[in-house]
Amino acid sequence: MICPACKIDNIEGVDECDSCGEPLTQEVPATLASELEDSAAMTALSDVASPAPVKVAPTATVSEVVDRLIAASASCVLVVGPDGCLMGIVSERDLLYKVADRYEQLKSSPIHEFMTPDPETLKPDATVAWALNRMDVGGFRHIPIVENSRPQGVVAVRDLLAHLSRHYMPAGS
Amino acid sequence: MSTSTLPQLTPKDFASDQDVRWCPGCGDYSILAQAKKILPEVGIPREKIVFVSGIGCSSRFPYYVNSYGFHSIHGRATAIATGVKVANPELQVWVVTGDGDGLSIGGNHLLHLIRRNLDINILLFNNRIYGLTKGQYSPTSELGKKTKSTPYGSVDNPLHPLSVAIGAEATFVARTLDVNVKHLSETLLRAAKHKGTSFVEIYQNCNVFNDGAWEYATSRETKDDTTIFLEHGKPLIFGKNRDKGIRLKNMEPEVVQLGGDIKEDDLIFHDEKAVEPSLAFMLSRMRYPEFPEPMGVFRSVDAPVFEDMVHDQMRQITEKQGKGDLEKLLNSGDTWVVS
Ligand SMILES: Cc1ncc(C[n+]2csc(CCOP(=O)(O)OP(=O)(O)O)c2C)c(N)n1
Ligand code: SF4
Ligand SMILES: [Mg+2]
Repeated sequence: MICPACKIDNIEGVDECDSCGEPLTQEVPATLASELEDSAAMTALSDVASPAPVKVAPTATVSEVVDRLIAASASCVLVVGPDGCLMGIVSERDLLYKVADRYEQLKSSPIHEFMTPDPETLKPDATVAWALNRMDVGGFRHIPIVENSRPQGVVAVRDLLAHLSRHYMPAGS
Repeated sequence: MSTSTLPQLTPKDFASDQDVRWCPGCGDYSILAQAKKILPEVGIPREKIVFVSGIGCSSRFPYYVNSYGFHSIHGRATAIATGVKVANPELQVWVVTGDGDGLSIGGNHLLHLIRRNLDINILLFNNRIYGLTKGQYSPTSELGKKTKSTPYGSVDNPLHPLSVAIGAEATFVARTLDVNVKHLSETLLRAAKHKGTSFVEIYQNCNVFNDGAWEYATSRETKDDTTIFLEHGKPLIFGKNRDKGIRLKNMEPEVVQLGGDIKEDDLIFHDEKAVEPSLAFMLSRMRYPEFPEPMGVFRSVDAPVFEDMVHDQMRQITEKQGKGDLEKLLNSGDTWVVS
């Protein structure tokens, strides 16, 4: 069972957490935090992130990328090299700042010229709380989820918003 | 202090009735659990134990231990603990502090507790961030660290808590990790038993504002190569296959591969009892990624403790000059009235 205090997975039936010593036999475990804080610190990104990110080759053209974004109603694409490793990310904002009114002129250019190379990434078991911190500190809205250099998904600020609004209970409710 | 009449306490006896307010997954939980585990073994009744803290997530600790405690002033836990111990040396005093509380605002006070060698146990929870205030960089944050208060990366050289403590000649200095509960409890017990200032740095994960800060030292894949466990009188050996060691070359440590020409006898042998703090200081400067980071007791030496000296001095002077009179003292010498 997962220890409510430190989140380590224990063998079923043990009396206390192997890692932090929290008693696991009480009927109602100690209230550790609000439902909202609890869910943010306990939920893994693999449970909230979009598991099928739009992936494109670095040679894909700007217009192909725009078409893919519209078709998938996505807000970013991951640029993936021939070896399957993540090379960069292109968000709506990149297209707005770097392409926008020069679209006609740039639509055949390869997308790698406009991507953010080597973006900050997170592992699938990172938590919602940690992703919120990274977006807040870094000022970005998308974080690729990567394991062994391979993209497994992407978490967007709207995924986090959806998760938080599901768990947000106004006081007294 | 006689312990013969004490009822046998258990960790549960040290649990308070307060709801724990740390984030789920926080490393502070295991430190609390291990402290509650060793306190019965220390054999001091609850009413003779005091936990003093400053401000921070770590500083919420005294609420959760069923003993006396102060959740005191930011950075001043060490000053308040000094007062507590001198006023009543019978008490076992613990200071719980963070890298911010103990080394930013409280850096000065920390040094004075250590140099005086009060018999106090200091636990510094190092998560390399200000947790309570939601993720600003701290004095132990690494160069280049991006946080809410260093959006372009920190340009401050970090402090290394053990180098600071050894620089102030702490008589007991150790390092341990939140996730290694066995090592953690053994280290806390040794700190409790040491007579004099015990300074313990605990690598603690803040999973919300600085997740993975110590991953290199805790993950199963890397920890054997990135940490080295000190044992008194034993050579410094580490690595998954225990085939690497630390040798002294021109007064500096170097990582060497065992086997071939290099034997165990060529390595540094750990001596926690060395009176000179130089070896301990050198160990405290061994840092990842150049070196494995030492865990365990760096230094454990005997020295007179401050509170004994204060009380001895008071006794001697009282014997010679009789009991003092505060009223008389205040009215002695030149006095004047400010109009
Ligand atoms: C005089 C004063 N200055 C600043 C603060 C804001 N403050 C509260 S806790 C803290 C730092 C806590 O960091 P640390 O000691 O590392 O504790 P953690 O939360 O990481 O365990 C600061 C700066 C305060 N409470 N009082
Ligand atoms: S903010 Fe960090 S240090 Fe504070 S309780 Fe949460 S996880 Fe622990
Ligand atoms: Mg801290």
